[in-house]
Amino acid sequence: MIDRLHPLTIFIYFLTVSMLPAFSRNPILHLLCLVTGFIMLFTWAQVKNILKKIPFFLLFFLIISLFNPFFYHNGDTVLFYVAGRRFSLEALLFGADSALMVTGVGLWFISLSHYMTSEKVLLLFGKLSAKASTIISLVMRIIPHYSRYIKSYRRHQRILGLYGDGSFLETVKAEGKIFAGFLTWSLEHSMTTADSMTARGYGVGKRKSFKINRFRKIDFIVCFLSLCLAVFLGIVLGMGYFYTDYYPTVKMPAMSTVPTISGAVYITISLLLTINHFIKANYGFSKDKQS
Amino acid sequence: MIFERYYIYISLILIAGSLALVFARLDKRRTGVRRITLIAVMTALSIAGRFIFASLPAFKPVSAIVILTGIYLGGEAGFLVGSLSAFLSNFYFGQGPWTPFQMAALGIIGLFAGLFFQKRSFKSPIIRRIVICIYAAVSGIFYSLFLDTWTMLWTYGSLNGPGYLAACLAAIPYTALYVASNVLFFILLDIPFGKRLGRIISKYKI
Repeated sequence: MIDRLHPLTIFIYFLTVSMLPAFSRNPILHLLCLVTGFIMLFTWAQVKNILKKIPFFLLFFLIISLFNPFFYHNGDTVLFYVAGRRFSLEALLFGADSALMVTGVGLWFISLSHYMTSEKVLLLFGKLSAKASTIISLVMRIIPHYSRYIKSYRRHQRILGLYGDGSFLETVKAEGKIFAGFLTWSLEHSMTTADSMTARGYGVGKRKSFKINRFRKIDFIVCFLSLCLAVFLGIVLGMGYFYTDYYPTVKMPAMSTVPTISGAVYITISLLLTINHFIKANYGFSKDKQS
Repeated sequence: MIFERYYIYISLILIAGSLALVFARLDKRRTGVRRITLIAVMTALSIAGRFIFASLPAFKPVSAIVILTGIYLGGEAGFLVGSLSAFLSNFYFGQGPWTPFQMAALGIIGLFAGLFFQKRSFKSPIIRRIVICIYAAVSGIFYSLFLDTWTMLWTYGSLNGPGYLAACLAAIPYTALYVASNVLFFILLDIPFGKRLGRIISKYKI
C-alpha cells in the first residue's frame, strides 16, 4: 500500500511527520514521534528483526542522554558530583529528550529508506539533474554486474592455480593482482558502455524516463493532510504552545486545549498510513492486498 | 515565533539547497558520455570500498577514491563521485537527515582535489605525493569536524560550550582513523589508478 504511493507523497509525508516534532524540545511530541515511528516499522519489517534492533537503540539512547549532563552543568537540581562537577537532573532530562528525538526521527527514517527505493528517488529528483540521474542508473547496474565479474575472475584464478597456496601473504598478493586486473577491465568496460550509449543515441535529444507512478487521489489526500499538519503544527510551535525550558528548572507547558488538540492531530496523521496499511492488509478485498 | 531548534533546520535547508543548485548548475555543463561512464565506475568503486570495509569504523577508501577522481578527472567529476557515492551507499547504510551533510563534505573534498591538483605539475613525483598526502590528511580532519558539527547540532540543537569541544575530542580516534585511511589508501591506490586512468584518458581522449 505505502510502496504504491507516489514518491513525492512519500517524501512529503515522512519528512513532515518525522521532522516537525524535532523543531521543539517538548518530550511529549518527541515521544509521540518515537511511538508512531516504531509502529510504522511493523508495516514492512518482521517482528523478529525489530526486536533484534531494540538493544542497539537503547544503547544509543543511553549514550546520548548521558553525554549531556557530563558536559553541561547548569540546572538547579544537583543529583551528585562527578569529579567536582555538578551532575544535574535538568541536564540529564535535556539529554534524554534529545535522545528521544534522535531515536524517533531515526526510526522514521529507517521506514523512509525502505519505502524510498532508488528508482523512486530518481523519479523525484531526476528532473533536477539529468547527469546525476544517468550516473545513478549506471551505478545501480554496475555494482551487481562488477561483483559477479570479480567473483568469476577469482574462480578462474583459482582453477588456473594462480591464487597462491592459501597462506595469508599469498592470498593478499593474489587479491591485489585480481584487483589490478579488475580495475583495467572495469575502466575499459566503461568505455564500451559509453560507446554503446552513444550508438543508441544518448545525448542527442532531451532525456525522458519511463514513469510508472501516477499521482492518484490518495496521493493528493495524503499530501494535503501532511501539508495541513505542517502548517498547523508550525503555527502552534511558533506560538510557543510547546515551548519547553530545561534550565535552570524544567518548565513544561500546561496541558491546555491547544497542545492536546495538536497532539491528537499529530497522532492521527502520523498513524494514517499505518492504519490504512493494516486495514487493507487484513480486511481489504482490493487488489492492494498484501500477504 | 519561538522555535527552539532552528539552527539545524537552517543549516539543513542551506546545505540541501546549495547541493541542488550545484547539481542543477553541473547539468548545464556539457560532459562527454565517456566521462560520465568513467564517473559512474569510480562511484561504484568507492561504494564497493565502503561495503568491503563496512565492519571497520571510519577506515574507508571512499575519500581516497574521491580525491583520486578529482586529481585525474577534474573537480566536477570529484564532486559528483563524492556526493553520489555518499548518497547511494546510504541506501544500504541508512538514509537520514545527515545524508546532505555527508554528500556536501565528500563533494567538497573531491571538488577541491580537482581544483588544486588536476592541472598542476610538480617538480618531482615524491613532492607531488607528499603534497597530496597532506591534502588527504586535511580532508580527513575536515570530514570528521564537519560531521561532528552536524551531530552536535542535530542531537542537542546548539554548538555552544564545552560539549562541542568534548565531542570533537571524543572523535579524535575516529579523526585519526579517517586521516590514516585517507593517506594509506591514497598511497596504495595512487599508482594503480593513476596508471590506468592516465592510459584510458590518453587512449580515448577524455
